[in-house]
Amino acid sequence: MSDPIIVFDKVTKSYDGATQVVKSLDFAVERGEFVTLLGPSGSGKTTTLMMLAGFEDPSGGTITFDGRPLNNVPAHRRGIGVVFQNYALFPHMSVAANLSFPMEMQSVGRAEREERVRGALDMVKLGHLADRRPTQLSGGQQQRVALARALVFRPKLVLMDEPLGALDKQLREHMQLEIKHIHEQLGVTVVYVTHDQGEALTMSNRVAVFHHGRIQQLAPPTEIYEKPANAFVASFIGENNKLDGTIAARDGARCRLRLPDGSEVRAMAGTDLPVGAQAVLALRPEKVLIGPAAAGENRFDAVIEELVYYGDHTRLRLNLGGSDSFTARLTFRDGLPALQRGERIPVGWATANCLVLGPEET
Amino acid sequence: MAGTAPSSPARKLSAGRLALALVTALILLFLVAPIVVVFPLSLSSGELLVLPTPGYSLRWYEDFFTSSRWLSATWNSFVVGIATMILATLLGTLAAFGIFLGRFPGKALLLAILSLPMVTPVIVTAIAMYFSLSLVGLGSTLTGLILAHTVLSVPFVLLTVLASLQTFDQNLLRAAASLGANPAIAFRRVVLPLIAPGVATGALFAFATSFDELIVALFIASPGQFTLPRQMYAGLREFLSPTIAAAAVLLILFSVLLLALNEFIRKRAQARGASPSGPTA
Repeated sequence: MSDPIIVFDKVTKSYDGATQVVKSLDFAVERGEFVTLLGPSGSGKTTTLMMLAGFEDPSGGTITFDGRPLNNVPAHRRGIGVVFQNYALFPHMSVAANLSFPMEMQSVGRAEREERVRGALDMVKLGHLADRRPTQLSGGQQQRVALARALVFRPKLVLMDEPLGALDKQLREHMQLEIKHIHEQLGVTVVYVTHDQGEALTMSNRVAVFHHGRIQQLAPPTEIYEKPANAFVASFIGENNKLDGTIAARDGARCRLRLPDGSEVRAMAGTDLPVGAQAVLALRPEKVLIGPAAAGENRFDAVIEELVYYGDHTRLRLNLGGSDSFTARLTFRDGLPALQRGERIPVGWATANCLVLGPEET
Repeated sequence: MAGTAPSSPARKLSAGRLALALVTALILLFLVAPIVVVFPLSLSSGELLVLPTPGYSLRWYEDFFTSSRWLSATWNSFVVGIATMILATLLGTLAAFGIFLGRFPGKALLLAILSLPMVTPVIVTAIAMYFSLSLVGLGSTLTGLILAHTVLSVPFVLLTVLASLQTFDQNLLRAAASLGANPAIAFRRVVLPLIAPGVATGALFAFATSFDELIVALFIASPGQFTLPRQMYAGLREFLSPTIAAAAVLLILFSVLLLALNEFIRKRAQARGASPSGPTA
C-alpha cells in the first residue's frame, strides 16, 4: 500500500567539507502527499529542497524519485516543478508565454499548449491577464502565475520554496487555501518549505520538522502538535510552557515529574526516560485551567504576575513550579471573570494534556 | 529641506558666477573647437589645408567618394570593424556569463587579465601582436588585424555585459532548468533577451574601438591594406589635401550616429523596465 515517490537514503550535504548542513536524511514521501519541511533558517530544509530540485548535489547518500536515483540527473531532466519565493517569472515574456515555456521544452503542439495555458490560468483565476507582463501584476497575481507555470507541464512533483513569504498576512492565508485546493484537485505530490508553522499545520498531510540538519519529527500536523517527539518540536510548534524536573516515578505511559520546588506533576511520558532522569514538562497554555475548573490530578496555587487582554482570549503570566513565566491562555465563553494581578488562584490541567520529554539536544 | 534657502540664486549675477560661466565656456570651447575647425576646412574650395578658406565647395567630399584609395580604406575599415564586433561580442558575452556564474578561485585575477588590453599601452599590444601574428603567418593580413582588434575590444564587451548581468536574477536560470530548459536553451531564451542592451552596447564599443584604431593597423595590415585611420595618417604625411578633413567630418558624424544609437538602446532598455522580477525580497 505504501507507494513512495521520493526516498532519501542517508543523504548528507556539506558546502565546505567540514560542517554538515544536512546530516544523514532518511525519509520517504508518498505519491500524492503534501509534505512540508518546517524549521528555523539554517536548519537544512531549503538545502534539502534544492537537492531534490537538482540545484545542489548531495555530498553523500541517494535520492530516489519515481523509482530512479537522481544522482547525476541535471535539474532540467528531472521534470519537477518549482515555485520560488521571489516567483522567478521571466520578465521579458507575457504571462501566457511564461506558462507556454515548459511545454515548448516538451515539444507540445501549439494548439494543445494554448489550451493548457488557458486551463492553468483559469485554475488560478487569472485568465484575463494572459497578455500582461509579470511586472504589471501584483505580488499575489505573480505568485499565482508562478504556481500555474510549475503545474502546467504536469509534473509528478512540485516543490515550493517559501512561496508565500513575500505576501501580506491576509493574502497569504487566502493563497494557503488555494494551494491546498489545487493539491486536492490535481493529486500532485507537493513538497513545501516554510518557516511558518501555521502554514505547515493547515496545509500538509505530514510535516517534517527540521533542526540542525536533521528531521526531528515527521508526522501528521495533529501528531506534531499534540505529541511532539522532543523538546525542540514542542517549543518550535505553537507555544509550550516548559518546566524542568526529574522523573520521580514511571508507570507505563504515565509518569510523575518532580519540580525544583518539590511539587510533583502527573504527566504522559513522551520518551523512554528512566526514573531519576532530567526531563522537561511541556504544557500548552490553552490546556491550563483556572478556578473551580482546575480540579484534576494536577492542581496548584499560583500568583497572577501579569494579565493581558487580547480580545478573543486573555493571557495570564503565573508564578508556578519555579517559573515566573508560566502562561495560561484563557477563552471565556460567558464573560470575563474578575481577576486581579497579584491574586492567588487555583491552577490545574489534565494529566493527558501534558507531556514529559527528554531535554533538548544541543 | 530645512534652513534658510538663498533667495532665487539664479538671479544673483555676482562676479563669482560670471567668472564661473566664462571659465566653463572657455573650457568647452577648448574641447570642441579643434573638432569644429575641420568642418569649414572640409568645405574649402582651395587646395591647401588652411584657414580662412578661399571659398566653399563639396569638391573634397567628391574626391573622397570617387578615390579608390579612400573607398577601399573605408571598405576595409567596415570589414575589420564588423568582423571584430562579431568576434568580440561572442567571446566577451560568453566570458562575462562564465565569470558571472562561476564559483572558482582566481576569478578576480581572470577578470583583470581579460581587461588588461584596456590599460596596456596600445603600442605594446601592437608590437606583441606583430610578432605573434607573424609567427603563425597572419602578419600583414586583414585576418590578423581582425584578431588583434578583437583582443583590444573584448574588455569593452566583457565589462558592459558584466554590468548588465548585475541585475540578472539567478533564480531565473533555476526556474528555466526546472521547466526543462537545458543550459544552452536557458541562455538563449532567458539570459540573452534580458542582457541584450548590455550586449548591444558592448558590440557598439567593439566596433568603434576597431573603427578608430590606427597603431595596431600600422603594424599589422599589409602595405596595400589601408583602413580609414591609416589612410588619413598617410594622407596627412604625404599630401596635405583637404580630403582628410572631409574624411574626418564623415568619421565624426558616424561616431555621433553610434553614440545616438547607444543612447537609444539604453533608453529603450529603461523604458522596458529591465529590472529583476518580483518584489525585492
